[in-house]
Amino acid sequence: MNPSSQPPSYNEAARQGLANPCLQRSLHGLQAHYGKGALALWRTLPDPTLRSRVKARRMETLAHLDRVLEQLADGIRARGGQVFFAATAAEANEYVRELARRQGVRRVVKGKSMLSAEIGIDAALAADGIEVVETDLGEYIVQMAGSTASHIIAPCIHMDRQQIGRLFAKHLHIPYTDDPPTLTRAARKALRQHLLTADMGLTGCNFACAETGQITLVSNEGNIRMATTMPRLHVALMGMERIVATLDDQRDLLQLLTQAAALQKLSTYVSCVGGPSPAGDPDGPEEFHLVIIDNGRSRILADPEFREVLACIRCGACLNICPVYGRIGGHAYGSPYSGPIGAVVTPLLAGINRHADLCKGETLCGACRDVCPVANDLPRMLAALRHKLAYGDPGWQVRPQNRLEAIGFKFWQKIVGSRMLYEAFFKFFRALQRPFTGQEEMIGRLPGFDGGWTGGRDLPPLASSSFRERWRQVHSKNRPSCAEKESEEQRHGG
Amino acid sequence: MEDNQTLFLNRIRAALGNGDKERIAWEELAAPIDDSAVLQALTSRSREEQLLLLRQLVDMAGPLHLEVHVCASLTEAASSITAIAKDSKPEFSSSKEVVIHDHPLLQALQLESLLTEATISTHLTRNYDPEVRQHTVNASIGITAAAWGIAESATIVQLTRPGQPRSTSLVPSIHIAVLELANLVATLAEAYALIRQEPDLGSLVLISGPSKTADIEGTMVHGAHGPRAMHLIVLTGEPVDDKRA
Repeated sequence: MNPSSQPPSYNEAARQGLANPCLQRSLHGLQAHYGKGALALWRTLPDPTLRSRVKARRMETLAHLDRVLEQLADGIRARGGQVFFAATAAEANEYVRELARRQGVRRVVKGKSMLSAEIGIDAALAADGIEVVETDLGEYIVQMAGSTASHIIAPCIHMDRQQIGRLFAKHLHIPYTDDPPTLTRAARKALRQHLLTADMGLTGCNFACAETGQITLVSNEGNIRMATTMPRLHVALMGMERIVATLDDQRDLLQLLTQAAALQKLSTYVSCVGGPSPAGDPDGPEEFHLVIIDNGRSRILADPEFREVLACIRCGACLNICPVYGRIGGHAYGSPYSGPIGAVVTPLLAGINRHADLCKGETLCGACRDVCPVANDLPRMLAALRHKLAYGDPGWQVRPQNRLEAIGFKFWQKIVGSRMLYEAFFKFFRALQRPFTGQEEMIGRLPGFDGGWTGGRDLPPLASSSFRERWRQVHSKNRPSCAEKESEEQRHGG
Repeated sequence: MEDNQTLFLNRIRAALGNGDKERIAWEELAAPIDDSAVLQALTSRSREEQLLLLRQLVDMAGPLHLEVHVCASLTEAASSITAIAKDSKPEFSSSKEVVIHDHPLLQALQLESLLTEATISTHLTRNYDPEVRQHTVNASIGITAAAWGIAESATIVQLTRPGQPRSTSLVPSIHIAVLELANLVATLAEAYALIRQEPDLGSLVLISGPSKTADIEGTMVHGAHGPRAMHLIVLTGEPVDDKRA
C-alpha cells in the first residue's frame, strides 16, 4: 500500500488478504499458537481474580484521569523532563517538529508506536527533511517496503522470507538470502549505525506510572532501549489513557501485557525511564519530552458506552483469536489499529461513518472478549456502533448509513406480521429463485445489488415447502386425537 | 504550556462530569503500600531456600537462552568471565574490548589484570569519563552487576547509578551480569517491594535474556539490536553440591 495513494476499501483489502497465501499461513500459525495460548493461560492463572481486579483498577484510574495525569506531569518535571499536552494530532506533530528544528535534528530513530502512525508524525518530520527510521525489525521491513504494519506485535506478518530477502538485497545491498538469522544480522548492522548516530529517539509509551513519574517501555529486540539511551533527545508519545496510578498497578498490567501479547512471563526488556540522564552519565538523553495526546480520546471517555475501550493495553490478543482478522489480515482495517480493537477504536477516533465497514465485518462471536486481558466487551461495543449506523447519532455525528436497509426492514416487519403476506412472499421467491439455483442445489450468484451476498459464499435455496406446510400434509392426519391421548396417559399412569 | 495543560485537564474533567467536584486526594487513588512483611520474609529466607530459587532461575533461563554460571567464589567467577571473553569473537570492531561497570563487586573480581593477560583491553564505565561512550560502542562485552535477580522469570534488575550506565548491558554483543545469591528474590512483586525502598530512584531496566526477534516468519533469532548472548554469573559464596543447580 502506497501511503500517498488512496488506501483500498475494506472489501478490496480483505480480498487481497484472503488471496495472499503467505499471510494465510502466518495468520494460521499465529492464531493457533498465541490466541489459543492466551486463552489457556487465563484458565490457569495462579490468581484467577487478576484480570477483573486489573479491569476495575483501570476503570477507577480512568474515572480520575485528570488527577493521575497531573501527578505524572509533576513527577516527570520534578526529574527534569518536559511534558506537553496535545489536544490534537496536529498539536503533537507541531511540538515535535518545533523541537527538532530548535535542536537541529537530522535523523530520528523510532521505537514501535501505533500512536505515531495514528497522528502521522513521520510525514510531518519528513516534510522538514528529517530522516525517520523505524528500528523494530518488522516495522523496519514494512517501512522499507513502503507498506504499513498489519499486526500489533508482528508488523510484517503479511510478508514471507523470500520477499524480505529480495527487499534487503535491493535496499541493504547484500547478496540475496532467505535465511532469517542472516537477514536479521544484516538489519542489526544497518540499524546499529542509525541508532548510534540519531539525534532523537521517538517512542510510544506502554504505560506511564503516576506514582514514580516514569514511563514503561517493553521490547524483545532492544531497539527501544537503544532509541531511548543513545540519542541526545528522547520524545515519548503517549495516548492520554495509557497511565496507571501506582507501581503495583504497573506490575499487574505489565504481567497481563506480556502474557497476553506473547505468552511471556516478562518481555526481554522492561525499561522504566522518565527524564534526562543524570550528570556524568555517558548515556542519553540530554532532554526527555513526554507528549500526552488526546486526539479524540476525551470524547470516548465522556461516553459511558465506550469508556471501557480506553482500558485496552494494546496487547494484540484479540487479533490473535478473531476469526475475521485471522482471514483478512490487518490491512483491511485501514488504520494502525486492526482486529476487533481496531474495529471499535478506529471508528471512534476517526469517524464512525467513515469506517462503517469495520464493525459490520466482525462476527460478534465473543472470542475477543474472552481473550482480552482486561475483559473488554468488544462485541457489545461493535453492536453499539452498528446501532448508531442504523439509526444515526447526532452526539457522535453519525448519519444513518443506509436508509434503504431501514425501509427493507419496515417491509419485513409487515410481512412477518401477517401469515398471508408471509406465505405469499415465500411462494413468490420460491418461484423467483429457480433460475439462480445451481447444479449443487445452491444459489451461487445473485443479480445486481444482491450479488454482494453471494460474492464470497453460496446461499441454500428456500425449501420447496415450509415446515408448516409439510406438517399439514404429512402429520396432521396421523395426529392422535385428544381423547386417545388421555386414555393412553391413564394406562401408563395406572 | 501550563495553560495547555489546564485546558487539556479541564476537557477531561468535563468528559468525566467531574467539572465542579473537588479533586480527589492522591492517597485515595494510591494508598501507601506496607512492604514490611515482604521485606521481613526476604531477610529471613534460608540458604536452602535461596538455592531452591537458584534452581528455579536456571530452569526458567534455559528457554530464554540466558546462560547461568553458578560460581562458589570470586576467583571462580573471574575465571568463568575470562573464559567467556577469550571464546568470544568481536562483532563490530577488530579488537577485543570489555567495558565494566564501576561497581565494588566487579572490582573485587579483579578482571582487569586477568583480561589484560589474555590481551583483552578493559575500560571501567566511571562517571564523568568522556571516553565511556566510545569504548562501549567498540566493546564486544559489557559486564554489569545486577541489583537483584528474579527467579520466576529469570530476570535481572538494573538500576541506573553513577558509573553504572544503561548502555553497558545493551550496546556490546555479549552481556555478562553478576549477581550475588543473597540478592535473588522469588517474584516480580518481591523485586518491586525492594525497588520501592530505593531512595531517588532513577531509570531502571528488567532484563530477561539476550535480545531477540521473531519478526521474519516467526523464526526466533537472538541478537536483534541488543546483545546476542547473555550470561548470568551467580555468586553462591560456597560450593553448591550440584554445580548445575
